[in-house]
Amino acid sequence: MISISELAKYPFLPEAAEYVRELGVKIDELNSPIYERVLERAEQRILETLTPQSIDEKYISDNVEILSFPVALMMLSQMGNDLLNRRFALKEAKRAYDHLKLESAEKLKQYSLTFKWDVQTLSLRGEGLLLSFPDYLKASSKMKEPRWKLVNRPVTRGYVYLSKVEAARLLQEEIASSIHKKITSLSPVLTKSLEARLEKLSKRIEETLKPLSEAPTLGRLTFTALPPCIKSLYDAAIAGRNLSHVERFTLTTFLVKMGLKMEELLGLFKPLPDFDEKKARYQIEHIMGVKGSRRQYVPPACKTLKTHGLCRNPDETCRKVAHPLGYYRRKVGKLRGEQS
Amino acid sequence: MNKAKVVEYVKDRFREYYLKNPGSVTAPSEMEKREFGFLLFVEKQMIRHKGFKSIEDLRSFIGEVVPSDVYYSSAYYMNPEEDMDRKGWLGADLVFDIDADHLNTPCKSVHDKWTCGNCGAMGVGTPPERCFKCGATSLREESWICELCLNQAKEETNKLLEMLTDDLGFSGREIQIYFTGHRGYHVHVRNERIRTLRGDERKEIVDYVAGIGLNPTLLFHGSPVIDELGGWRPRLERELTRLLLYAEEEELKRYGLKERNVRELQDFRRKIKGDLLKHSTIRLVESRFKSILEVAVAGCSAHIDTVVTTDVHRLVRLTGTLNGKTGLKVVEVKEIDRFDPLREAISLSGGEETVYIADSPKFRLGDMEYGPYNQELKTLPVEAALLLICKGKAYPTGV
Repeated sequence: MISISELAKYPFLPEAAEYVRELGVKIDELNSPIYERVLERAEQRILETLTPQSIDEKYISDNVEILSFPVALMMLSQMGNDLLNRRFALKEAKRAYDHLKLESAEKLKQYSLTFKWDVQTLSLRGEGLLLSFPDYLKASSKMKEPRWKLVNRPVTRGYVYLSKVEAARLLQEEIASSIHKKITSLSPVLTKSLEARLEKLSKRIEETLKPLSEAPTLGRLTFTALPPCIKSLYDAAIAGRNLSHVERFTLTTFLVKMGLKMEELLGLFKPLPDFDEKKARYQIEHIMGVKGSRRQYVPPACKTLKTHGLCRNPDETCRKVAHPLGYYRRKVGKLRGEQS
Repeated sequence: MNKAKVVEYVKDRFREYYLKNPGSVTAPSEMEKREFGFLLFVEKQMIRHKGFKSIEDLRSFIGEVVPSDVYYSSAYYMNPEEDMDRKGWLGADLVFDIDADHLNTPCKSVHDKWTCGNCGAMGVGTPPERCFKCGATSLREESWICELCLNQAKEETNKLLEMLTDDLGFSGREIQIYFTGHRGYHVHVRNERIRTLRGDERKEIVDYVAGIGLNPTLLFHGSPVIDELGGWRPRLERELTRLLLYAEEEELKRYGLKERNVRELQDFRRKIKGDLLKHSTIRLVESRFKSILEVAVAGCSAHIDTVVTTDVHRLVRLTGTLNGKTGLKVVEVKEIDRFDPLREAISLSGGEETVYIADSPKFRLGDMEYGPYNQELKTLPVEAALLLICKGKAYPTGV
């Protein structure tokens, strides 16, 4: 059995949708004053995807938590902003992860059924799970760090070992993609009476997103000379897509080498869903070598990028170089040659 | 010699095989969802995007056309006859290719040759990426099927099979092994749960069986040690123990271990007198014998052709059809350890053919040993003659 307080923590579970159905809430009635708190909370949930704040800080009651989730999904579907949808899905999934990593292996197994995982709990020790390897491959396909590679994991008779925290992390991936799918599959059904509210919300979102989408000017950089791997990371960053640790490291080290300044880099990373200026500043300072080990980091070589799956759309020039910086230098040289 | 007539001769032998053995061509599972492809003798033209509803239709098509090679898709399609983007991909078997072409056997320098298509330079063994003389990349390869290479391919197949069953949990029923009729084996896994894996997800399986991206630190320290768990950790530990305690000097050197490391290892063995129990293998390797780690990983890996497995539209050879490079047939292998490819893959026998042989290394087919030959006229059993002709090393007299 799943309790009401669990549903409040994990409102994306099908059991939560069932609970809402049983409450008999009608969409037309949402405008009534009794649902004011639910609507407010739904708006908060959406607005908070634009800030590093935790969703849970504004908890009111289990019922408000459970009800506000599908309402937020409906609002998002009505607004139809895919960047916002993705951020929302990620934020909600991260929130779920924070709760999931504290759960028992047995509970994790129970929740994973939502995603049709074939899971066993480990018989001898309570803290781990065994996930069937095809499910593991599908769930971990976006995880680029070496520790997620199948070859580096304990594997036995078709099952992959996961610690509880690791299982929670993979569930986060599944949750994010299922929430995003859910939003895009909803047909816009909100009643006219909520239109005014939505318009206001849209305006606020636009105001927050606007400064983010203005791409920073990177004067010294010759864009056409960027290697395809760096270009794709750069495009992803300004589009506000979530980047993995290795991806951020690669992009930052490359741009630092290109002589970009702190403020320019911060501007670039601002659209990222989990942007935290203090943290970003600290990490960039380390990479620049002004903090910590005092050594300036260099971007990874092509070989390393390939291992991490970051080598994307290699072109003719890529064949001739072993390092993204080599690519840039070569290309800049060529472009200058063509101009003169 | 008339080249077209040589091709006509081979085609006649192939026709004879398909006529005499009408039931040999076997239907793949769910054949109506598969795409079939045929390489023709004429100008090496490829017919693709063919679909067949029944094995009888397929057999009579093969009997009529007499192709040099017959393939079917590892993938299942809604409409196998449509263009690629309209086929409607439903999934694909998991396929592994183990080919002596990709193995580094010492005999290659004896029986394999290459010639530069640009400057005519020649060399032995596996061809380099570029001609050492003129830098051209169009190098013509001449490979040979030899017992040593085939045995090595068998060993690699066995390593792969162990990982597929013990680690990845597939049952014997789900795994089929085929001899390709040339220099290696294909392993097919048919299982509902892996059918829809994408190329990048299959790449993880490739990396797993081939030990690519393996990180010893993560493997040995990343997860708690739990006895009931398998995977690379216990496999590598066993191999490391073997190398530390028992591997002979010659073996270690063959793997490229430096003289200094070998000596250090021998000193260590004398000191512990065969009792490794007191030491942690992993800690020993990490602190003193890092050099054998790579050797152990290479020893445990199954050396497969990595691109075949990740390609979810791949065409593979059909069982019971002939391989145009050898005249040998593709056969399903029931028991790999007792399988003799140079006997069981013989397609035609019971006749003789007089051939002019330009050159050929020594080889065996069935119970007979042949060669080496050098510019001579010989009357050979038809299977040996056909092999030499298909390999381009001989031609029948009278053409």
